[in-house]
Amino acid sequence: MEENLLYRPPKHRGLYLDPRTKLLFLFVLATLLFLLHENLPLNSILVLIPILLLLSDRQYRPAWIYGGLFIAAVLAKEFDRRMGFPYLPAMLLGLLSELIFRFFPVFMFGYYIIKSTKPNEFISAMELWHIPESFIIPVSVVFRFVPTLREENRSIGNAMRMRGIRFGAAKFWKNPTMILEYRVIPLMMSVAKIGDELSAAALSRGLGGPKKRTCLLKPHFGICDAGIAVLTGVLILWTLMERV
Amino acid sequence: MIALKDVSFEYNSIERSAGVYDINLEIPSGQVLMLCGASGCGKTTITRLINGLAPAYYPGDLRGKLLIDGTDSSGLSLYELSQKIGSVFQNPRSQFFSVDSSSEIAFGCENTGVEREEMYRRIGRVARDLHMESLLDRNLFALSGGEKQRIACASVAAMQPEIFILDEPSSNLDLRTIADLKEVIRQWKTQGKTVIIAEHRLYYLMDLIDRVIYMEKGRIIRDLSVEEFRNMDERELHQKGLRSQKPIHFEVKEDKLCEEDALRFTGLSFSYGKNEFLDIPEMQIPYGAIVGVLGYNGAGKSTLANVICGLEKGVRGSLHYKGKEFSSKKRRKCSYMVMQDVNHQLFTESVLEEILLSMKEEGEAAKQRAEEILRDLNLTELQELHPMSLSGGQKQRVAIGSAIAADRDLLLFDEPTSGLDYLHMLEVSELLKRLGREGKTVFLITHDPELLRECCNYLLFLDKGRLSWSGAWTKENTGRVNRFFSAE
Repeated sequence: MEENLLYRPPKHRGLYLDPRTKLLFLFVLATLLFLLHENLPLNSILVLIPILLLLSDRQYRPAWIYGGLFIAAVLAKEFDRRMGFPYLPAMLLGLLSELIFRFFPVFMFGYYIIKSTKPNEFISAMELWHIPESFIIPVSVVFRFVPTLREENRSIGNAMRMRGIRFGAAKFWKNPTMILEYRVIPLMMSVAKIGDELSAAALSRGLGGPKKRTCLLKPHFGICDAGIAVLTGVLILWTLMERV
Repeated sequence: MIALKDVSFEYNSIERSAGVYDINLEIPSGQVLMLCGASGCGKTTITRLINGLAPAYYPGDLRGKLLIDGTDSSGLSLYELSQKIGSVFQNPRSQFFSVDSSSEIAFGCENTGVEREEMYRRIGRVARDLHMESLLDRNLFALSGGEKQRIACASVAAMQPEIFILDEPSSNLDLRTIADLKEVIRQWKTQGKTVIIAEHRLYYLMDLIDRVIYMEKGRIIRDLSVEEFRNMDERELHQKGLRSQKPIHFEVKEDKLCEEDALRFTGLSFSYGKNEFLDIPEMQIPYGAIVGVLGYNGAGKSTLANVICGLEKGVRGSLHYKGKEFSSKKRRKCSYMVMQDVNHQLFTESVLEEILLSMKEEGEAAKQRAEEILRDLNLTELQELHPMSLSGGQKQRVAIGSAIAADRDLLLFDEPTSGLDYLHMLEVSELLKRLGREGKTVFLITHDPELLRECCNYLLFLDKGRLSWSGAWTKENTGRVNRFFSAE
């Protein structure tokens, strides 16, 4: 009878990476993108990694959007190389495609981390690195606040549309900065309120106590983490060979 | 046992004003006690004093003594108190720390260093006790308010405290989920736990509680057994600002609604994801009616409101009235919704500006009309203040004012009275009735039976995204509403 009552956490679907691996790889990715120089195959791999990880976490929409943007940027670049755009569009396009090539992989990987990591898992992984709790806990709240921001932002957007506050409306031209102000201020207000109530709820359940925290989920390195480690080695070697 | 001896408390900050004075209260173990009283009477403050959030998190001046099982609680830290006392709060959206339900249930145990195997056992046991096996391992952001509230209960229950404190736990819940909440409290009662509930809605607790404390302006006025409380006259309760302690009974009403002049919705359909779905081929609403939109959570009430306001993309169907046709996009210009969280729709720096923002007119004419609107809503004295500094009810009136200023014909209200006491509920109801008399058509999404009885003269019942019936308070419809509100 007791045995039936036992809860067991579900098996991870898709790829499971330890939060520590994710964080380390984020730095690797950022560094490699910084060192990268006109190497489309390597760049494509660096773009593909976050996309594949997003797909494995069933985040189809961002994965397809980013994949599409990347392909468009590659095509635009290729077109420019062969035919040549006029100066100004070429410059703008170059800027945009560099953004897509060099910055977006890091953003997308960050998005993947936030989407695929649970706050408690993150806390216990960081504790294994002996990072102080006063730093970990505020950071871990981010995982919970990103979806909250989206929910709040959606209702504020609805409220704005209902009052006819939108880009291009007559009211907009009178005071163009208001569109930002009206979106950000209610958002900050409601996030502050949620944060306040959340702190009260967390404290009343013993957060910040003297006893060492335990964790429902045990972060552990697995075969996927080993795969990422090998991949990291290969990518670093490749980049270094290019530079020499 | 909990004992408060000559306890007085005043908050340091200005915005939290409801202090308490000269509280003497003894709560024996195993008692289920209800704190009630009008908004601002200090019942929430009492819950905070017991769970230690006041003064540890909400600073203020505390006098007197508070003993928990004989220990002076001023010597205990929040952490120590958290192992004896579990707290559930009003807003299901703001009290979870995790993103998935199982981690959330484990959150308190993790903080107090419970071993992993023991956590597995506790989650299993709590899930069975509270009948929520199906809610394990779910994304919290995909759960309804009621489901979130049950997770919050499970999370404190997993810490196995002896005392449970609930602060207006039903404010955001519908009838079916209130019944679930009631079941949870019943479980705790049979386990011999002490339960303290501060609440506006009384009727669902009547067969659970042992004792009622009635408060006014920070003081305990009456200390009643549940039998004495049950015999109290309904009118006396209402005078004290309390909701009914008995289930609401609805009666057949004969209102004259002009049926010819109707708003005709045709072919409304919309779908988004798995959960949002709406399909209403035909729906007629008498012009100037106050329409109560009923249905369980997830029946599509909010989706219908968004569709009527033209806020959803990819909506088919249109609205005909006054000989004109309104597509989804055009409806945005003739409708206005007062949202449940009214903070989302106040943008400017003063109440007056908020009204002016909605107006088509400019200059002096606008200012004059704005002042008129403010006067009608009793907001004139507040016109220079920042909307965010107002109370919930005042904010709601500002939002209504901006809707009137925008000259919209359709006004929608999403749960305008959740968490309001009887008198504030009556104020809202009066306001809605006046809007109806001024020729606005009002849609009211509500779980509040008293508000429904007070002001609605037309009813819509949604079920799984479809219109299951609609009409005035005929004999048949009244019977249906009575059945809806009495079912548990």
